[in-house]
Amino acid sequence: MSRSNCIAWMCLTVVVAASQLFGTAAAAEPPSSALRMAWLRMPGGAESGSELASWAQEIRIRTSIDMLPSAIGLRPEDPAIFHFPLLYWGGDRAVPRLSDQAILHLRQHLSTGGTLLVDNTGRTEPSHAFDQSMRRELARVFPQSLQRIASSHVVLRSFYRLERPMGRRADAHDLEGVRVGSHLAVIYTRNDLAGALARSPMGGYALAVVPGGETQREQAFRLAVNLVMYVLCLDYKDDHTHVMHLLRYRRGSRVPEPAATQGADEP
Amino acid sequence: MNPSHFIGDHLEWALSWTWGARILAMLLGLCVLWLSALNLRALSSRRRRGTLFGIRTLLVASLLAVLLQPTWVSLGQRPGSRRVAVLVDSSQSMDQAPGGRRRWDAAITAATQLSGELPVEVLVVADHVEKAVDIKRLKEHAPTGVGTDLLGALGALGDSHRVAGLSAVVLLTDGLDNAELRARNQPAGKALDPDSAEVVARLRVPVHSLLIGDKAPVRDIAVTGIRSAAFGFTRTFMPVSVEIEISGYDKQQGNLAVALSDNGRPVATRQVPLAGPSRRAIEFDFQPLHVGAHLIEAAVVPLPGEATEANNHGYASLRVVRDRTRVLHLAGHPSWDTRFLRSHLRGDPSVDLVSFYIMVGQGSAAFVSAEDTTLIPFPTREILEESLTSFDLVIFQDFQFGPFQVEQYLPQLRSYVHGGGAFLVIGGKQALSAGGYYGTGLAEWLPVRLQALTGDDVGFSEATLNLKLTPAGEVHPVTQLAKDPEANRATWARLGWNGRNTALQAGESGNVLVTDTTGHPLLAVGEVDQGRSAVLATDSLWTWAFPPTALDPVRDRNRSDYNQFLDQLFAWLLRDPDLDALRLEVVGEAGPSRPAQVRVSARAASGQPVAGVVLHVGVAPLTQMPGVPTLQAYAEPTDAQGQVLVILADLAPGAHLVTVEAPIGGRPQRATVPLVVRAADREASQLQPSDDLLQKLATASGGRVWRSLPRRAAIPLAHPDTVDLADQLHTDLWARPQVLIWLVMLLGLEWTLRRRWGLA
Repeated sequence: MSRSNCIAWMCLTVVVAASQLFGTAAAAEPPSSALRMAWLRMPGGAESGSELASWAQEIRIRTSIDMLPSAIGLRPEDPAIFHFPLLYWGGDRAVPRLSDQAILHLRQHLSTGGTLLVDNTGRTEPSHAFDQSMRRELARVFPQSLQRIASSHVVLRSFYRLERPMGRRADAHDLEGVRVGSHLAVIYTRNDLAGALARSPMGGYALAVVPGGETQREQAFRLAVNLVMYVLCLDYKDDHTHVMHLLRYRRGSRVPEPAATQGADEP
Repeated sequence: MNPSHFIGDHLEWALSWTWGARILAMLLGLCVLWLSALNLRALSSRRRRGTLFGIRTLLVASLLAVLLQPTWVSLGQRPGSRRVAVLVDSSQSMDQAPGGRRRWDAAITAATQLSGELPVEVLVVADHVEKAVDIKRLKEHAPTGVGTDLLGALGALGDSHRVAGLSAVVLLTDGLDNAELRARNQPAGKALDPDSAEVVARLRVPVHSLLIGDKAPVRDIAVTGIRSAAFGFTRTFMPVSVEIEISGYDKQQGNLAVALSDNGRPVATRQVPLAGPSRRAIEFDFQPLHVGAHLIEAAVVPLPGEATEANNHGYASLRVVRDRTRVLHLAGHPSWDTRFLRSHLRGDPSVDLVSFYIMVGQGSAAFVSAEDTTLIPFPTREILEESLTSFDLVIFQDFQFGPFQVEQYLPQLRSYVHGGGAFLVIGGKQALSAGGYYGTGLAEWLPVRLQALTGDDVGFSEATLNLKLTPAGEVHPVTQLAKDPEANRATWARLGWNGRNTALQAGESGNVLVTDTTGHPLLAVGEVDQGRSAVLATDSLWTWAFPPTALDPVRDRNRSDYNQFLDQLFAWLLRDPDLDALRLEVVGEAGPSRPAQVRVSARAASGQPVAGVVLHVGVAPLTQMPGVPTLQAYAEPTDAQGQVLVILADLAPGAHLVTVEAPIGGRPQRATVPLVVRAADREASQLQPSDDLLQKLATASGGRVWRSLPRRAAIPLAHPDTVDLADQLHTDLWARPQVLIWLVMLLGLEWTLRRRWGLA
């Protein structure tokens, strides 16, 4: 190897090392009010990246949510996960047993208001290995198992009206979740939601959506928006069915009957 | 006096000695006799000894008899006849003369007519009973009584010895009792109340009444009462019924204005046509705006020619509490800050939360089809005009209101806050100066002074903030996260925020409680007339609820600080009485014979009573609101329980607002409470003659009520036959001169015989 090449490789190494350091420093930054998603780096798991950036971009375009464009990857043992109330966990293979500290962190995070979006990113079908191992680890976090989320749940109408969850695939008809208190702390989709959002380096979409094509991709985007909107608004849309009643119910007000009044009110 | 018919006599011993004293006296007498017997042994003749001993015995017995005061009592009987007690009302209302003739003069005429037909005993009554007067001298009296107590007069009659000789009672009155009889029979029922019926029953004769009316009605408008619930809920409409009586104006066209006010604040005015029933109830829907004591006043505008304006006002006290807190939460966009605030509010079962989030940005609308979403138009008019006053608290959270036509409703918001509403602005990149609040009407009632953005300043700075309590924040109830001052400072120093709104300074009327270490305001609160406002110039309060640390104790402590801080902030904004440093409570009812009394309680921010607090007290008529009264130091400070009773003497009749100021915890505290001083002139409360109470008295006693005096034969009387009156004659035998002569004679005889027979 030539001397110049050595110097180049050394510089590159320094740059990469610095980026890791900056990345770590970024993770230690105090939380901003702007929403930033953090994805969990699991042992043996794939790296997430462009799909979450695409996700954030759609949120910024379609809604008023102030969302940072890039997501950050963190190990569940990293205390920095407590800077990010919204976590993403995507996988397409078996997950090894997580450390006790990781389990403890996830339990604390989700019990105090955090939310974990779990995405089965199996390419041709939902990964059975990921599904089983993920359920095993979640059972260590919470005793209650994942339950089917009804189609009437507010998550499917928190922004868009959705009849069913879609992703790059359309295998599962329902979302699953774990409820903690009054909100869903864990939301699981088996349809590879991030896969529908991923973009290629050229700017187009990286993966085809089956069987519905681009129409289905739009539905996937809408689910992605709904999930983030639900995390921030919880049951706000459920309230709306009663808001008009709350506004009009003026607690004991008596509508004056013109025939019975003695006279007219003056301001 | 000679009894016309002797029925018997007897002897009485008038001396009131106990039996012990009497026995002692007898023993003394026996002792004297025994000594006498010893002395007589010197005589040889038994006949002489017996004579002298007999005289001595007679003497001792006579002395004992005199000592016991014998009295001869003779009983006699003579015939008499029952009388009619005529009670003439001499209260001030009898001085009315709307038809040209005084009611008092009509009463005198009726009393004179009665005295000519029946044996009468005339008593003048008002707020007390005068002694019986001669009918011929009745005109010398004047109707000046300050009250009318018919029940008191009947009760006094029943307790006196006169009742034994009565055959009837006739009341000559306009029926305007304003004492116990009226109070016990409100609201009007069909029968007399049981206690009053018992008083009437003791008389055992019918109680008739001659209603002294007028040839023409008194021209008067009177507020006769205000009917409402004893307590109400904040911002909840409740019915208030004002009862008025109109007389003498039935032929007059036009309307009468009836105004309702709450603690001096006008509520509503209704125009009532003069023509119509004389007694009416005017209904109001009243919405109390804040917790605490309320004084409702109903007033009618005086009309020309009214007999008196003293009865043109009525008062009712009302205590208002909070049932559920209605919160309007407007958020400029979904965020972690809105998410955790929403969770906090929704977790409180006493909160009715109405939220509106702006979910689509200005640039987003082009990418979103309304058909595919659950979005609804922002109901600006409905929430900021129609329903605004139904909310206890309005929150603008990072809400740039400009694009949503909110600015046209700022006058309503202003009225809402000034009238007692609570308003909170939570900061962010779309709030305060960053959100275009500068230069708008909204900036007027914030506790901070906004500045225009200059240069590169976008109105928000992303920076880690260390928090510091100001001197005001160290003692303010909002920022008390720990009771111990040192622990409280340490708690705030441990907590932090990220990002703050810029381009703002401390306002003149606000209190900055928290700053960053460079002095930039972060939390400010302020009074806005009767309302309150607060500014939290950051959007990172949520980090307390989801603290960035894995350690359990700190996470739990921070989360509890989040909930506690919000609870205290809302409690202060909503004027929760538990946070008041000064509490005022009106004690009893003030009137002409009882000064106004207000109990003042002083408490520190920790809730402990504060002793030795010197108060400054001021009183002003409620009609002068919103003026600030002149305050003067009160001599007595608070006691060990933090309380003192403030006595306010010589207040004019009417509604007043008492203001108390005192320094507590180094901060001036102020509290107010309304009170009413009842007028002495009870007689002016009602002027129209009324027979409602007279009818009840008549029904309870078998009497009648007339509007003109009937003939003698038509007046029912009880016990028409004559009745015997018994007389007694007492003669003191022991004081007669014959007794003295007898005693002297016995003494002289004994002395003569003793000398003659050689005894000393």
